[in-house]
This record gives sequence, C-alpha cells and structure tokens, in this order.
Amino acid sequence: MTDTHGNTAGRSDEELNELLIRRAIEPLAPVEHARLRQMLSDSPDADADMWDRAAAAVYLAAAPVPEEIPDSLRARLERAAPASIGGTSNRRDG
Amino acid sequence: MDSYGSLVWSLARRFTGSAADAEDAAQEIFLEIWKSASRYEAARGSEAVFITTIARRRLIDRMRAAGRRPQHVEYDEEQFRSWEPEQADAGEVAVEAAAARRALDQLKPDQREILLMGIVGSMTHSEIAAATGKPLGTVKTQMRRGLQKVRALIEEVDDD
Repeated sequence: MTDTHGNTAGRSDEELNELLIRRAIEPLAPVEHARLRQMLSDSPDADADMWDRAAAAVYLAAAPVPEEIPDSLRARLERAAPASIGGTSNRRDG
Repeated sequence: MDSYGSLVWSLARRFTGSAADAEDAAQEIFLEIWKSASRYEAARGSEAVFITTIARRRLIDRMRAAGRRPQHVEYDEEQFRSWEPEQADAGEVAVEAAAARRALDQLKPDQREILLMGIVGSMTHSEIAAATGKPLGTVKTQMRRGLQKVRALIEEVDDD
C-alpha cells in the first residue's frame, strides 16, 4: 500500500536497510529477525549481504593482529575437514 | 584453514566467553565455510571478506539464538593509528583492509569512532548512543553513512 505521498516503497527500503545494518553489527530481537526474513523473502533481488561485507572489511582494517590458532582447534578442524581440502573427514584409507 | 584459521579464531575469541566456546564456534564457522565455498564469487569481494562475513554472521547468530549480548572489546585508538596493511597475513586481506582503512580515514572522527565501537568493539547501537551521548537516530545515521563510504571504496577496489 502507498500513502498519499507515494512513500511506502521508500520507507520499506529504509526499514530493510536499517535491519540489515543492525544485523551486521548486533543480534536482532526475534521479532526483528522474523520481520527481516519476511522482507528478504518479499525482495528476492535485495543484496542481503552488502552491509555484512562492509562490516567485515572494517573489521579486517581495524582489528588487532590475529591470534595464532591453538593446536587443539587445528586438530579438530583437520578431523572435520572434507578430504578434498586435506582433512580426514569421509576419507577412506586402505 | 592455514590462511584464515587465525582470523576465524580471533573473531570467535572476541564474540564468545570462553576458549571452549570459541573452539566450538570456530569449528561451526569452518564447516559453514567449506559448505559455502562454491558460493564464493571473486567479483563480490576477496576471500578474506567472504570468510569474515560468514564468521561474523555465524557468531552474531549464535548470540541471538542464545539470547546473549556481544562482549564489549575495547578498541585501541593507538593501535588503530599505527596499523599498516602489511600487518594483515595475506595479500588479499591487505588490499581490501587497506581500502577499508582509506574509507575509515576519510570519515569524521566521531563517525569513525561509532563504526569502530560497533564493529570492533562489539557494541550495539543503543550502547554506542549511551556511551557517546548521541541520540540513537544519529548513531544509526552515522553507522549507515560510514558503512556506505566503506562499501563505495571496497567496490572500487573490486572493480579494478
């Protein structure tokens, strides 16, 4: 539905962008999460990841130097990784 | 895993309360990365941004599901000022991080602070408003404009 100024679509885009930006920064409340899912399903052409990508780039630019991955996690990941990328999951030896 | 293990692990540490939680989260993230690898499109950004996007989304979703708030992490203005692209641990990371860095440098100081409080400091919009004394609407607007600026510069890099 459109108001007397024809602004419904613009407000809807604004709400979608606001929810996407907030999702890129903080956990949404369940009702907001449901609203966002509905809006994305109504707008299949929307670029749902664009704000997440921008936030990821900021993180990469400003976060401290990464910590070394612990050996225990490395071992877990090697066990869980598909054989196609060097892990042992699904690998059939012998 | 060798290229991005440290990146994912560091993110997981920042978003979780214990090393055990962080390991569980990091494993979930890698499972999703391996499952989603075929969706990666180089034209839409570097591998580093793709992986960081998946990791942050998964970590924020975990908090939403658990009803937890992010842990606040102090960002160090001194460290921010002395950052060099070479600190990134892969060539592609350096290129996109440098573009984002240029975008951050072009923002007004208070706008940059809001972005960094949210993205690096893991603060919500409301918490940023309370901490800075700015109205919530202003925080949202500044966050949006800051991210728009970053997007524009990143897209220029990706188009080159």
